[in-house]
Amino acid sequence: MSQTPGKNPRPLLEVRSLGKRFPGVRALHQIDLTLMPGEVLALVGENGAGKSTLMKILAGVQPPDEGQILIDQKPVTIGSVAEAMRLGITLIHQELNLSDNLSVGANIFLGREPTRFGLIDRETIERESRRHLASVGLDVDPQTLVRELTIGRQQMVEIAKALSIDARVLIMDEPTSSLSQREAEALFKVVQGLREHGVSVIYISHRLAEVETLADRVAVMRDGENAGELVGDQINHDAMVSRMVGRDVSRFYERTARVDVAAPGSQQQLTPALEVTDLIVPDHPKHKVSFQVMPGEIVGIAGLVGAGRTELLRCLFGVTQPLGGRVRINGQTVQLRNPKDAIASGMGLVPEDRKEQGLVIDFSVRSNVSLASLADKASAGMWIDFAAESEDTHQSIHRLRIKTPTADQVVRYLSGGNQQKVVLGKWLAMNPKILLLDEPTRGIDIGAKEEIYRLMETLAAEGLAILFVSSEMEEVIAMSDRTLVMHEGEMTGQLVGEEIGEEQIMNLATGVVSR
Amino acid sequence: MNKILGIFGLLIFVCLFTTVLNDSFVGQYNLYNTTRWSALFGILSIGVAFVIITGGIDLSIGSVVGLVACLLPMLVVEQGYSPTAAVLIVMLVAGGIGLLHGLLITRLDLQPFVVTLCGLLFYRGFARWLTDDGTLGFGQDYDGLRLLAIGKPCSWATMLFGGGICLFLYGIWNLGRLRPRGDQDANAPRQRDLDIERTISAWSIPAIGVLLAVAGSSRFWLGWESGTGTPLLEIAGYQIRSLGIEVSENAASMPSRVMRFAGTFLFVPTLLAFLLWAWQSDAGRIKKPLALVIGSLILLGLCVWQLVPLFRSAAADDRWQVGAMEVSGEMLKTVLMMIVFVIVGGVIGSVGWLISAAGTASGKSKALTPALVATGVMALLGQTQLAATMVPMPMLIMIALAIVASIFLNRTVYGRYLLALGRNEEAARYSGINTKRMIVVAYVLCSLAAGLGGILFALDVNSVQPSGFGNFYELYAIAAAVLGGCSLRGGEGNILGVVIGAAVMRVLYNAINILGISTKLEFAIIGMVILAGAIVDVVVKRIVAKRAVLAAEEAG
Repeated sequence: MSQTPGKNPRPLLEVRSLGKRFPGVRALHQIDLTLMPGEVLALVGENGAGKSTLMKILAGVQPPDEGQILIDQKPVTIGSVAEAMRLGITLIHQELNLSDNLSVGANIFLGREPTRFGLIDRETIERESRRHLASVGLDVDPQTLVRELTIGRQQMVEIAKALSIDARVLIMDEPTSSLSQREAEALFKVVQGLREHGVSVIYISHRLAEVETLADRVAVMRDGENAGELVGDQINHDAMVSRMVGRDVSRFYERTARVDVAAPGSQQQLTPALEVTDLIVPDHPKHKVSFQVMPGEIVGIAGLVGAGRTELLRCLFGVTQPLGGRVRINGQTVQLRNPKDAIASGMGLVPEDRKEQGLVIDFSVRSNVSLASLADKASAGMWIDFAAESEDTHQSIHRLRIKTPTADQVVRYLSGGNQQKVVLGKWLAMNPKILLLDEPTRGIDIGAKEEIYRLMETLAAEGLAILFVSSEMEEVIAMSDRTLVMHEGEMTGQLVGEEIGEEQIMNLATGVVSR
Repeated sequence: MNKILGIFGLLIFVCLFTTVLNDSFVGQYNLYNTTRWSALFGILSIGVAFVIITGGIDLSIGSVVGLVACLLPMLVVEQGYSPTAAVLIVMLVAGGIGLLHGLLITRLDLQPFVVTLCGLLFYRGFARWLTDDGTLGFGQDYDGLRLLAIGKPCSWATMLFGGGICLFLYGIWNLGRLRPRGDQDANAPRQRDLDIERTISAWSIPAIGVLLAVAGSSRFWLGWESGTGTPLLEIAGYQIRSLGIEVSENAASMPSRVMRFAGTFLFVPTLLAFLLWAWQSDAGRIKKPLALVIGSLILLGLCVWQLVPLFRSAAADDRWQVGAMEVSGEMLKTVLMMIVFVIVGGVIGSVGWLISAAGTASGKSKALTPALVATGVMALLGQTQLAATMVPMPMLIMIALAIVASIFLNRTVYGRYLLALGRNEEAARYSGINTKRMIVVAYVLCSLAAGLGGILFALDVNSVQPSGFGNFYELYAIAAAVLGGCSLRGGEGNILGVVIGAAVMRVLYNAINILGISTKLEFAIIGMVILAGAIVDVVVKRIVAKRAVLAAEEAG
């Protein structure tokens, strides 16, 4: 570790009892954090633990509601991104913030272009960019357009940009989430190099193995609060997980009963609710996907980001058109040309991006719940049945325990968990036979998560076929009767009952083994 | 609803302001013209509202108006088509134009701005080429057809009466549909609030209907009372006048007895709502609105009793000394009317507030407040000479169109789909909505409305110059829609607001002329008013958002 205690014991950055509230959620509560110069501090926690919020506050994207931030032991207020930059803090977002229509050099100097005689000084940009790019080990011409680079290289450009403004604190939010293994390794080298140059890095990641190799110190967050700190030898997978979850991993949500409808014997009597044969998803044209889901069964799809799970669900729901293969629902071959067809044949999709695809965010709870079933219940095919709409809404609010002041509340102002319940309510209102869930618990708090799990179980017990995608390993393990694993568009395996375990899933998900 | 209230308030304010400065604004001639033009632009605005709701824009409206206005006289006068066939043909052309726009936008993924901008240029150029830039008209031979635009079917009093009866009948029918929800816990406080609110809103519709009918017909009663005839004869008299035969005007413009009538009838729904509310509310939340209501009621009573003698003698001697100023009786009455309006509005508004404060923020009872305010104002307007003004035919067409459009937007699945896809097209598609088809429908509706507008404009003006007819009309229509509560981001809008928005535009334009303000300033003033409207809208939205956040937090 380059951080030598005693040489410079004063923290570079200090956060004291920081708090932040959003409508319906306490995002951060009494957060403390210190960062030493030349230190790699990893920040870990489950989705919704408040990591991103904390980083946005440090980078000046959002103001805190309470608490103090000190830099070099002097209290500061970070009112804007520009101010954060002046203080030497730069945030590299999960989604990169580059203008991909501009060149690499132009991006590095965006907003503070050097000028000569009032014109942009291209030569300086070129020269300086080369220098900064070299320091992150990136060998590209500054005049290349950013959109021509791979994601990994774009990330390096972001880091070079941060270096060019003499950043002292570099915050990286899930930097490896869309990188290949090689790109990730290159990134780690750059991070090591930064540390040697005295730059402090706050590294947010879900990939605990990365954290183990990279971090000098780990701060764990849970439900918007500090949940412990690990230094040196203490940094290991189990210690991090137990602090993140706040209990033993085994005590994650437990299903009351599992069904094994896929077991021999029971299979003959049942027609699969959903049977997919040799489906070719347009995003991954090289692979054919086949599987089935029985009524009353909960099937999980595991895999890494980019494994093609969301694309598979979108294709099943008719958002994209398959290039081949067959889908049968209750034994009937169906043509799914658009979501309308999918809905008509009894499918509902809770999409990954709740705000963009799941909800009309400025509509009321009522209008959202009724949106998919409106036409079915309309009289003469066009007149809205307002009584049925009210009834469905009140039933959803009651059954899913949606916490909303009234049925006419605009969903934008509900918390993430309640918004997700509204999406579920929309599909329940049309009595689906098959429910597709894409990351159903992303970004919602623990309480709401458990409610959604319970609901999934109840629905399955009522005979619904549930197919869900999740990146949370514990969730897949706890919830699925059967787990399908995908790797780069390919269905690499199927796990049933006792076989469903973290190691088995990871082996299949990384393409190490296939069956 | 707040938005409609705001824009309606603006309309009333501009009207009163202009009246106070120059009372020829409320002269029958001027009123007739202003309402006619408001209606014509209202038709265009209703059409463009649908497109704006989908998040698109239609810049070709003015050119479509121009093209249709050229085609109609060409077909009728030069080609000798029957008027019916010609109207059908030009409407087909307009619908086809909309279909083309919609298909280009949804199938080829072109931007609405680009497609309709090209339309703006193309249809204008095409019309000029077609007519060789010559002026067209219908001459004197097609007065039957022209009645569509220049007919005067009835007076505003008759409209009020008829509208009130319709509303009453609708309200009674609506009451029949009111049934308790079986699965709800009737004892839960929120559920009880909601049920009571539903009851109040359901009953208030026929009540408002009765009120309007009374307001419309009270002039007949008055005639009956002063011995000049019976209600039926008066109705006949209106009919005669609407056919163009003059009858003597015998009713005073603001008779005292009718004021008392109106006052009494305004109290009925107020009292009804108050009693229903008092029956179920918990005591804590009521003090402020209660005080306001009682205060306003006292003021209203004072006004009615104090002002009545003034009106009575004003009719005898038409000059009045107010301070150092000598004013006409008509003007004094107008000012007094204004005061009464404000107070009545206050009473009614606070009753609405009471209802929503006592219950919850349910959509329907919020809608009740502006409805009551509008009724009160109408009831009072029904007593003035405005009621004797004739209704222009385009106004009837526009009202019919607005009702149909409103039902389409709010009561049918398709309207809901338009609103949903305007806010979030992706989520709408994921909910099984054929968003592309709905967008095409919106453009077709818009062009059809532009076609209808074009026909009426041509018939009205009777002299069509292909190079300039309808220029900038799309911008007036868009401005009216925006003023009336449509967001150019899509997903927001209501027909009533749009119609009022169109009226505001015309009244502003009229006010500038009447008040002798330089017409060079016309655009500047209209621009400023729209900007002010947009700013107020943003501010109000922020306040509403803040409240919603608090409400959500309270619920957890």
